[in-house]
Amino acid sequence: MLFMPHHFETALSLKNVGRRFGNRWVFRHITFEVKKGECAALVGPNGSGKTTLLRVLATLLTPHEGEGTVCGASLTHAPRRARRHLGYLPATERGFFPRLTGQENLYLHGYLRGQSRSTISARLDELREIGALDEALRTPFFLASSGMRQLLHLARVAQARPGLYLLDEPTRSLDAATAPAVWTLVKRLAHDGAVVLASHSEEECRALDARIVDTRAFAERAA
Amino acid sequence: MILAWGFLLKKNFRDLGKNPFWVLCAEMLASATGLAVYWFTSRAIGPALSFGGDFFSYVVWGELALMIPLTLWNGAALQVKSATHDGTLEVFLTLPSPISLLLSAQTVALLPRELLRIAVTLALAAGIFGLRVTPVGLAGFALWQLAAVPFFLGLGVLGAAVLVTFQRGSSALAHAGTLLSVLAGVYFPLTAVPERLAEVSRRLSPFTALVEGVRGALEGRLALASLLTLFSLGLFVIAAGIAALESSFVTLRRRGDPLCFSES
Repeated sequence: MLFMPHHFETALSLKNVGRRFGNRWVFRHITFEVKKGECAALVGPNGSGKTTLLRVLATLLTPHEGEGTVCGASLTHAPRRARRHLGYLPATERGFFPRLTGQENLYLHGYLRGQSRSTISARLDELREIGALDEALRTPFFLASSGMRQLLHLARVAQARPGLYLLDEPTRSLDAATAPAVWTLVKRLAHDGAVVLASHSEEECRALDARIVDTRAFAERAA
Repeated sequence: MILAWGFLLKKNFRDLGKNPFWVLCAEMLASATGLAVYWFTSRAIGPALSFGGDFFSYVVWGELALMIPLTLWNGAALQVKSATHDGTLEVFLTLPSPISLLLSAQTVALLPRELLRIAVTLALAAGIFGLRVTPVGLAGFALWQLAAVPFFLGLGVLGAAVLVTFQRGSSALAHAGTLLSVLAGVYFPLTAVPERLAEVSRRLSPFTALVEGVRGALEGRLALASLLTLFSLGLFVIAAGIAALESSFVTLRRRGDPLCFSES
């Protein structure tokens, strides 16, 4: 079995969560739960708050109202404990040290999460079934293509094996040959943990059996 | 964290250049050029100086004394800027480890490079330019450097907290470091400046006590009490720095400023 089960039922719980920048509310009164084994897809147009919500869940931004928990740990009162249970794929190509290879970067992140060398090595071996990952692991990050960088970010998140995976557009920059392997991986992540992802493609999310959360409603409520 | 530190170390050396041999050659050339300038200046003006004439030893030991402290002074702020630039900060902020610890570890990982620079400079200064190096003096120098690490690391982390909170200040921090190091008596003794300025330097520049301590140690006076005071004060400063940096990131998360999230 690739991923070990986590001992929790509710991976994410949000009650009336809101976030603003200055006086402008991006979203308000967001209430929903994601159970273990579930995948929720935030779908909506640009600017509807998908990435901001994922950043709030990743503890990069503090919610301005309401309360959220990740695997029982409060996002506001115990963010460090919440971070132990989450893995965040940002909507950026950067995020690794440019002169280290993909593999060196992933080892570094594994060590920072307290994993041993053998654990990291075993987990990376399991992820090598995504064919293009091999080349990404060997390449210095500054020479890696956009697709390779995206795969490295996915591998970083997957090797951490948190309870909740937060994925901002997981197949961004990936070619048609690699994207299906990534969706398969996302399915597996959702099976053993829980996934909240942001995407522009409702079709792909439905194919994943994901629960669709329409973020257009966020903007309406914030207004 | 120790294993991660190994990779940070590797990253720092790789950032210097691809080939270690050429990196070492570049270091030697830079050191030799600086030393030659001081040596010829010392020969030209030495006899006219009021403090014994050995300008070369005076400046070289002064500069060596401040290599590590200045790296630590600027280090954490530079790490914040560099992590913002390469996007690693956004990823690090989602890790369970405290961000202040990560940035401090990254700063400390710069020290082996500085140790290499010190070793190269010392070897060239002693081997080619005749700098007098005694085992006792060297041991005293090393002890003062070691004792100063927590203090200057803490000041650097405090500086990084200011940078994160106000989103500016890294240049001011670097300029302040240069100014305070000059005032610490690296290039001229404090007796050469007006008494009031010397007094200000003794009170304000954190580098002054270190430079004076190192010079004393080279003459065989270790000043153990001052050394222990600097070390103990350093533990307090580093604790204050870490608390300030963590608090600055809490503020940043609340505000959501683009400093750390430059693509937002």
